[in-house]
Amino acid sequence: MKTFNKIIILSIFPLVIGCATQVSDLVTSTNYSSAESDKYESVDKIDTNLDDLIYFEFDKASLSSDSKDLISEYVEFAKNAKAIRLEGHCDERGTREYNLALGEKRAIEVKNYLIIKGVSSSKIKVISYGEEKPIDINSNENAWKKNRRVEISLF
Amino acid sequence: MKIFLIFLTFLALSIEAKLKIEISQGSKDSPKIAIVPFKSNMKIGESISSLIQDNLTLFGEFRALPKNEMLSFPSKEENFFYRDWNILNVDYVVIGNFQEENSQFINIEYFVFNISLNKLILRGDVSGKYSEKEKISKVISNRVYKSITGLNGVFDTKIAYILSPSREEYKICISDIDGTDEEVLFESSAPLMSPSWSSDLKKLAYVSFEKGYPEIYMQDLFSGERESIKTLGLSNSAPVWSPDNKKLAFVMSSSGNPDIYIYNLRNKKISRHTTHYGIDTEPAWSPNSKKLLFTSNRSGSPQIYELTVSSNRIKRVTLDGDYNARASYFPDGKDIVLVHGNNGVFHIGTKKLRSRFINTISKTTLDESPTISPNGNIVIYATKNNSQGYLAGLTLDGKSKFTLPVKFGSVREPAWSPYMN
Amino acid sequence: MTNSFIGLLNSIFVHMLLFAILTVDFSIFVPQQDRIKTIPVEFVTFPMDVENIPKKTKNIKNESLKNNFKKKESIEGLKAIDKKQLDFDSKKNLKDQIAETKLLKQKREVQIRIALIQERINSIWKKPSLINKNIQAEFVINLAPSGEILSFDLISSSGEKVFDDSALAALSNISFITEVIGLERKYFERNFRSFNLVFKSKNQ
Repeated sequence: MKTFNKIIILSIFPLVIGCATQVSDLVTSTNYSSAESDKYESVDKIDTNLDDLIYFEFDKASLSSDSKDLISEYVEFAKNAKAIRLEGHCDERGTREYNLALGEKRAIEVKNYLIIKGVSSSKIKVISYGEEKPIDINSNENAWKKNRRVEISLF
Repeated sequence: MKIFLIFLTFLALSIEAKLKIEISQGSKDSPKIAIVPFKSNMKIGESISSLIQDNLTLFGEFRALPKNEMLSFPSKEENFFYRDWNILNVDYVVIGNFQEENSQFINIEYFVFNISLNKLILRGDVSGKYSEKEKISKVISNRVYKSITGLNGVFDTKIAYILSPSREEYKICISDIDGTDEEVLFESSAPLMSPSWSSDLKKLAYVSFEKGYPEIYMQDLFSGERESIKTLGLSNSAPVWSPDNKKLAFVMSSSGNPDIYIYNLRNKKISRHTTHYGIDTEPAWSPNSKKLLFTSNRSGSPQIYELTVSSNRIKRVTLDGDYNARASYFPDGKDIVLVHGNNGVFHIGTKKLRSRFINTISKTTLDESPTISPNGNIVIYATKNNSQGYLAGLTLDGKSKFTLPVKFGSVREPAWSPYMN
Repeated sequence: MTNSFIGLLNSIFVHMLLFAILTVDFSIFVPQQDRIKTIPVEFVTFPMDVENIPKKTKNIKNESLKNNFKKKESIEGLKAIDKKQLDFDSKKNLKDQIAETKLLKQKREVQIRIALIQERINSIWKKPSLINKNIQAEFVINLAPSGEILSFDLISSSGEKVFDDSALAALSNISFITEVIGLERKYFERNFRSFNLVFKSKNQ
């Protein structure tokens, strides 16, 4: 019985991974220039009058329903924009290289949500600064909350 | 851990049954050492012995006997008397004299005595240019250290770190391990990260955001020449030089999926070693360059895994705690140091690869980036006080904790160099 | 065109699957051996006279507790208990108890001295930090009843000169083990006249 269970786990787990990898590749494989240096100056930035920060939980990259609502409001602007820049950030806790990766996961999460809503993936640029560029340099819960973010800019 | 163990072996009631008392803890005090000012006709004598004293007490591994408490100032073996030091409870004494000294050249003869054993444990001499007295002191310090501890000294090693004087200023610096002789290797207004030494000490790899995304550069320390890994504009990070100097492990991310890659420095080929869709980062080489430790959140939280490079076989290393990251091997390859987080508090921990228990060794709460001395005896790490980053360290026997000299700006990501040869 | 694209995706998928099977770490699903935490057990035993050791080595506390329990049972009338048997038990117990209390007292005396010796040598010994080396050096110590160290000898080297030397240095700094003074002569002779001292690099 135990071995049978093991077999089931063994056979299901790769399937799950296979699917997940396939989907994410489908969604984003069209764009490998995500990390290219952005050629857009801040003067070209489109003012949407929307909050441009999406917040996250500690060590998490998933979007809350509030965040999803906020991103949805961006969709119309995003469809008309020339380029969209998503900048992922983390709070100071945890290690720097891991946070660099986590910031990227956060930005990608926002990117994928925009794509689902019909924004062309080719114009979305993603970058992570990890914990290197905090908004608030203090070491407390309030500061950390502000620093765990993705910044959205439209051009 | 601290409970001292009482073990008495009862040998089956035989007549030979003998009491056996075990001693395993040892004294909480570091050994006391007296560095007698070296006899010299010029001022340099005293300055060399005080440099040696600074070195030996740098990490708190020894306590120095103040000069004004010394009862005699011997400079040669024949005028050295153990009783003068025995009554001062000194464990070791270093004396020396100048065989030759002029404004160009010096030659020093030195002796190390073990007072408890009434034994001369080292006699040596060293010569060099007058202007290189720091270097000469380091050579003597290393030899004295080795004669006492049996371990190689690290007083001539260097440390690389990131210094950020302000929000828009980032510098990669290299200094001597005592914080002196700081040199700026590279400066940028964009973040710099993850310095890593090549094992031949000729190059330093690091991550720079100068082009707007993280990219790895390998900079020659002498010519200043920089070379980047060409990776199709994908973001890459966390470079680590292999101890055999043939490879560079790093992290490349395509579409938000960071994985561990290896860049072969000979044929410039890149190979991929992890494929999981979660985060795989912070590679660290085993001393034999055959395995890598890395951090992955494939289980839902960051944990340490060990990868065998030839087969890509992966084994989970940490099981306890909700955040284990940025591990690296001790020189013996059997133990690791890591960042261990629990309930939002982050300490430096050590762990045997093959046991489950993680032993936290630091006390502050935002500790990260541990780096181990090449002799495996000391750990330096980055921590914070009022948002200001600084470097702290400790000896692994738990006897000493220290902080490195404060710099103008936030200091982080220390990387201890390999041995200088 | 679409077909070949799907074909390509399929082949990617199959490869991923194969790769995942080969590389995914299942250790989180399989109970690992080193999950079992071993707790070092500390115990104390030492040589004693054979005749002094009661043949029945029972825990006195447990025994009397059991008796209490038995009595309670009989009061509650749940089970009839042979009264004679009970008396016999408690008489025998008393004898054991006296012998054992005496022995315990002596045991404790020796134990305290050992702890004191350990404490003092620990405080003197400047243990070198030989990272992760699990080694030990064993000495034989010969004492006079006054506590004077008559001689000590390294009988088993650790293989590390620095380590042996550190233990030697600690012993050289002691001339008297005063901790044994006042101990009943019989116990001094049996335990401390000649004993072994083991210096260990790790407390495991």
